[in-house]
Amino acid sequence: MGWLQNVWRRRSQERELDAELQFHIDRQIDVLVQEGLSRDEARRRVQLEFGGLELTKDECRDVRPLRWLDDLMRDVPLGLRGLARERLFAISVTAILGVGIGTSVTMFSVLNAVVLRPLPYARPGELATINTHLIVQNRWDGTSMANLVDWREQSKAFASMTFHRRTSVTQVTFTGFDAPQRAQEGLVGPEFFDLLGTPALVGRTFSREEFDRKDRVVVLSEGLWREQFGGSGSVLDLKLTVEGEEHLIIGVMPHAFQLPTRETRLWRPLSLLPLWPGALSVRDSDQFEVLGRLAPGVRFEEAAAEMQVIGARLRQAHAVNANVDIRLVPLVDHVIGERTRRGMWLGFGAVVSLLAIACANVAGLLTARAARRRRELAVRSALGAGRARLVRQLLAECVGLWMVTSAVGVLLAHILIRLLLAYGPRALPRIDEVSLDPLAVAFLGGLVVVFACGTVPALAAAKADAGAAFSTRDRSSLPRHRLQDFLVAAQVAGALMLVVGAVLFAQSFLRAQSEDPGYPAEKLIIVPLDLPRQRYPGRPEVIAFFREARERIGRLPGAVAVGGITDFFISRNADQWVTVEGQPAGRDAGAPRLAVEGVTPGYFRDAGIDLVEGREFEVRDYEDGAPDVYIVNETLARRFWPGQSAVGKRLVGGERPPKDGRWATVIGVVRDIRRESLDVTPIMLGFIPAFPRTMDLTIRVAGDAAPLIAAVRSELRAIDSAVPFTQMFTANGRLAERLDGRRFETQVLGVFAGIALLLAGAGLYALLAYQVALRTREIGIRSALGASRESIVRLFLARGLRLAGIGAVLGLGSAISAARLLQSLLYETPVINWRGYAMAAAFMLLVAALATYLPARRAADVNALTALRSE
Amino acid sequence: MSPAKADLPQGTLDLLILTIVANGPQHGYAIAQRLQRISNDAIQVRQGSLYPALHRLDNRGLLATEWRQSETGRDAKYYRLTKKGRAELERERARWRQFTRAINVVLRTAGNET
Repeated sequence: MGWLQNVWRRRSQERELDAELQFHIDRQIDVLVQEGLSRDEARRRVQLEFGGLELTKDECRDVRPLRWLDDLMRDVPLGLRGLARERLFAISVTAILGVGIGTSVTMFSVLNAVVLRPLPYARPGELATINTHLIVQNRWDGTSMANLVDWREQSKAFASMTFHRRTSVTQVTFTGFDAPQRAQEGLVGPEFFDLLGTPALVGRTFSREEFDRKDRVVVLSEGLWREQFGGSGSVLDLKLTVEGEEHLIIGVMPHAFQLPTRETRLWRPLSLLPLWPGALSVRDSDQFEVLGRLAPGVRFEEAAAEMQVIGARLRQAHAVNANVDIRLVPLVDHVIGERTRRGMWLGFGAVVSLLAIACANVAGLLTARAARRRRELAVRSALGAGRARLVRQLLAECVGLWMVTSAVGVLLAHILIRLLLAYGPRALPRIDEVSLDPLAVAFLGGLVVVFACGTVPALAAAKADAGAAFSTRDRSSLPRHRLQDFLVAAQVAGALMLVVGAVLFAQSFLRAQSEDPGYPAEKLIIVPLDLPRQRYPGRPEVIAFFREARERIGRLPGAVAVGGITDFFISRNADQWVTVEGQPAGRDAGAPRLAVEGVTPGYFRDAGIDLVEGREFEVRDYEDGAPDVYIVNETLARRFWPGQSAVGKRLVGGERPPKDGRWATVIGVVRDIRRESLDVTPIMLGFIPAFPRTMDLTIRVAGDAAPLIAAVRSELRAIDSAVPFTQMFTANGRLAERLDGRRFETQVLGVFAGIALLLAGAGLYALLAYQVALRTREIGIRSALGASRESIVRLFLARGLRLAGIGAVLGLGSAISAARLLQSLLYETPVINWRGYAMAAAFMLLVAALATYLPARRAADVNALTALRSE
Repeated sequence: MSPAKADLPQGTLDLLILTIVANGPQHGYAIAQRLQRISNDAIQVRQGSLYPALHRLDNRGLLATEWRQSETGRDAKYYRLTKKGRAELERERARWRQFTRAINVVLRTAGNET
């Protein structure tokens, strides 16, 4: 409104001014006409006496308060017009700053959505996860209900605590519209929703009475609701079949509600768990995870200290707790994770560097342009434009430039965010909530102001000696370009830092990607299956299913072998205790845990995993009454029997030696396989002969795996359409997906570094080209005096490379001191490695050499005669 | 510019304007005419440069403006002295007298010495 008023006021002021001056002039003309002059002659005389109508108007405007604001508004379009005339300059600036601003806004939006924005729960700062920590193993663990009861009783720091079942064991099958599906569920305590304080999107959450009565009720996630029920409000009367039982749908939670995990698609009362409430009394259990809300005014550290005390008390009170400590983690850290947070801040740091480089680049361009325009400005100054007026005009051009570049930047950010949402790594938490952030735009506004304030003085300074511009002498003298030199060296330094970062990440990514998974990943199709208990109550049914699947799929052209394993790709922790004959047993003795997988006969041969020693499981190992046998992986064999053959050694599941002396015998050792991800070192694995009801079929193929997927699906449907298998994937694809985060980081940094390199190169090029142009006359004299082409090229080459060299040294120094921050983000890549730095420096110097050589060669082409005649 | 006509010392234009307007509201053209007439054309003010001075005095609150019918029947912008302007005029007048007196003293005595 104020702006409009301003415009309106200015208009009326202008009208008044016109009328006032016109009155004066007309009166004077009338007088002269009365004195006998012709009207034209009178007008001419008056104009002469009056002394320039426009000049007078301008002087009148000058005395107005807030004159500068009015002028700015008038000068901005003028500035834009001026820029349109210098198209190349305007396009360069717009492109450079547009990219700088666009990437910054995008990155800030991501940082904000993923890291900065508070969690979507009531007073999220009060929320923390409370978990058991195994002291000897130094690792996280779930807790027991009995311990939780004690925590609740003894803690004063927490207003309330709630619990849910360990999320690693909460896959359920539900039957939606068409086929049964697997989904992650939240089996949660009665206070779960109230504690988090997020209201249901539709309907309600379950009450304590329903929990205690073990009512079969289910709360859906928004995603599942939309997918299966089309987002219909009348979903509340419907039932959903979960694990073969009908459950009443009572509510829908909004998309933002992502606990216990992001993948959670439905919630049920934990009392529906078969082992409830027997679970209450068992202290030796790790089946639950706990969330707490701090009492008002209690600080996180106080709560952590209190839980330490409670932990110590429980260690003394109960022998099973001897190795158990309590760890608190703020919920926000639990959800986002240290790795992600660091990665995001790193990306943000990178983009800020990029923006700084872009700014330095543009500042260089502006300074050079201002110097080029000294003549123009001097002319205008001589024609009577005030100093303030000229600065204002330059400022107006800047403002115009900013308006255009900001618009381009925001548009670019908009596009980048769209792309990110479509193709970005899904592994990042809350990445789907990224939006063009008002905060980011405000942040950008701040930068714009800061930089505008930086450029205007530069321009003003360039203008200060405008008077001198008339003397042609200053063209041949050698102006010092300290500011421009500094800007270019800074760009080189910044770019080199980014390049070092990008090279390190690329090294790390390639390192991870080149890890040998230990199986032919490109030739394996994985089909997670969950055979419903009702239809497959016992082993014979499961075996029958597996046999038929093996036979049918085996007949498909291209299929080589079919095997079954409990979990090929796990998100599960190593969660089984093991006791090895002759070695310390039990968690208190520091025994490690391992993951145990059931596999079908001949599995390793079928899946293409090499047997290192011993033999595979054979059909006889699966018979009732057969002796217990194990196949272990190399990591386990090394851990327990280093330097020895593992075959024939004995172990047993659990924390104690078997009472009946029934040890299981190791019959084989297989290669370590990387199945969680290529960048996760293999954990200890034990395999036992089994036909698991929940099983990943692994299908090895001869050629390309992808085309077979559809055929496999229809074969499985033909066997039993009631078996849920929603997903099917190639091992290769899954492994690639698991490296998405690293790939993304590497790509982002790579793009940033590439842009930075280009900018630094362009900055160097522009500076030298400008200097060559300035020194044309000098070069002409030199060559007239017999300087060789080579010596002139050398002159400029030396100058450019010295600048680049200074920048590179600065950049390498900064990179080395900042590299420490990257270490935890890299996979088996030392942050100080000469190869990476040499590569980065080589890139930089290559660009610098090219950027320097081109203008230097142009200098050498200067013709002595034309150069001297040009003045 | 002919040497016979004096340049105005810095700041004196304001004083002259205030003095002229003190006699009653005037429009710009009339002020210019009076300025020339009173000084017997001794003071040459580029007519255009009168207006920035008028506007500045207006902005400082020493003058107030008003559009009304002029003697020819056409609307013109009239300037009138405000209370603040009258006070300023008194101050400026006193300063000017003091200044000219001092200059005169200097001219007399210094002139006699030589």
